[in-house]
Amino acid sequence: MNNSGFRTELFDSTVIQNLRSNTRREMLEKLAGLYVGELKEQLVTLGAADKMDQPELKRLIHTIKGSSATFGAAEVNTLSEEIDLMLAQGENIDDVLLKLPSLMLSMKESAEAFYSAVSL
Amino acid sequence: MSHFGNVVVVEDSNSQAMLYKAYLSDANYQVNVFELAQPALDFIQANPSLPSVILLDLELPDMHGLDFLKKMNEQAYGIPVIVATGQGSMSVAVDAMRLGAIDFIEKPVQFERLLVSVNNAIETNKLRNVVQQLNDELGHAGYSDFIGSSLPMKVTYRIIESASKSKASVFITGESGTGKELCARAIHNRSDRADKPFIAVNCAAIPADIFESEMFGHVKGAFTGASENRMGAAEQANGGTLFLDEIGEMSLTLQAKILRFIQTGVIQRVGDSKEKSLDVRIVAATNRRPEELLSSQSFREDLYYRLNVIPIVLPPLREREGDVLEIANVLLQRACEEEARSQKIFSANAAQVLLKYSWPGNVRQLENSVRNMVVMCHDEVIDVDSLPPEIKVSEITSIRPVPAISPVTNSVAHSNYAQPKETVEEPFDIEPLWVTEKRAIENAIEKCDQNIPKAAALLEVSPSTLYRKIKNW
Repeated sequence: MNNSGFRTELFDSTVIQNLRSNTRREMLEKLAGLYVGELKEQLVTLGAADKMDQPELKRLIHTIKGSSATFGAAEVNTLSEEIDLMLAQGENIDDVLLKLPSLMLSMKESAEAFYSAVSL
Repeated sequence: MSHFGNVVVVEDSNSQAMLYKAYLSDANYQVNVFELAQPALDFIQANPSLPSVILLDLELPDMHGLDFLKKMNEQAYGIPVIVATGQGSMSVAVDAMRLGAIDFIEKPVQFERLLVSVNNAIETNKLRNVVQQLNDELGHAGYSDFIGSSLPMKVTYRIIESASKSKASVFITGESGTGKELCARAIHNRSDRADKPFIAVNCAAIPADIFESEMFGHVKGAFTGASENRMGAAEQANGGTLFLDEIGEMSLTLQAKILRFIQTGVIQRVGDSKEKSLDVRIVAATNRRPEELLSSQSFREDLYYRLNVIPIVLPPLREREGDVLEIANVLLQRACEEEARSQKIFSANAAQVLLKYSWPGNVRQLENSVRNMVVMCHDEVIDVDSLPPEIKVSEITSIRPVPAISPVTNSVAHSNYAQPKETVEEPFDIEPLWVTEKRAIENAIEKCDQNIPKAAALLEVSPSTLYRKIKNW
């Protein structure tokens, strides 16, 4: 935990710092809103992952991986990358599904802490 | 506000797309965002010249990024594509580069990296286009069968290109030998009628009494000697192009018939009661100036306006800057091959004389002169001595004040050549060109027992040119 009240492992401080220095505050606010909204939507979708076909799940995981990298959500990025790899290697879907709760938990925490992380 | 270029972002994650957009807009790029591949492709197809660069995510809901690249390649838009990939997606990035992507950026996409990549892609593409353009220009220092890259010709090529895409009538004017038929063929060959017939009719060469039958055909028994049905030129050109050369020499009665055909698209064979609808594109040409044509009352104004939808004025050779040498060199090479002679070149002095000469007979005269030099000159280098007499004479006499009506632009003799003394001292024993020409023509006609077509053939001009000149004396 840091003094803002979230686990430091959730975010990559370099990426967050780059985001802050390369965007104006109002744009950062808008982008943070979009990313947090996206995380929440993805959480809902992931909740029904057992009903998805594999390509659909793969694509969703890929999107989560891409945006978490972009917005410095390091833990979500690591977890989604692991799942992406399992899917790419054709591992048993039940093993993949077992991985989802920890990803979803990390996504939830990241969504809640993102504004603090970018100091908004 | 002007911007550095348009970037099409194809990214299904809205937050990431907006981040790219924020970065790029700050750097003064115009950005269009698409969440799906197909709408992006549709946009690019509708505005192929708008995007400067495409930033593409490889995992899209409706299409894989690699398939997007394949579709871009099929259309050959020439727009550079940068792919954005996640970490550990190196193999797919390599595939993307193989499919023509210009660069790839790993996520998280950094501000500087994105701008450098976009900027490089745009600059590289600009250079590619410049190289392509230079290659095109070097590859074709002309257009269709035309040779020459002077400004007046470039303008002409552009008009021909536009004209070929239309069905409207074209009216080509230009002095004899400027390439009116070449121009008509270029229009036909570059049009969507290229695989259909191109029929050329020399209106001055067909006697008036058989013109209608030549143009529109006849049925068996229509007149004495009409032993079978015959298709006319217009019908032969159906679906294609009918080129009416020397239309200024056509009689008023025939002009009325041509006008009716142009207006209605319908013909009637001589002796036939049935009419037939045709789809023919008309290209007409004359070496007379339109205003002269109309003021002489020998050409119907309504026909002129029907034909003159797209006017093309072919510049005389003397107004085509350095084209003379370009054409002379190509013709020289061609003539040497055809005459089975070893390759020849012009000396620098001869080239100067060719450039300065006024070429009243234009490219046709140049072609005949080059042929003459190839046959007469046995050296590998064609020098001033081997140039045809009229060209050399013009060089020597060019110290004379140029009459106002003359198109000759050279006013000083070239210092490299010795001037025969008597010419300098008595420059006024030279008669006007038209008098010389008149005498030459009269002489030829007399020698041919008043047979004008034969005289014309020997003078290497068309009979109509002789008829016109005789009429004007």
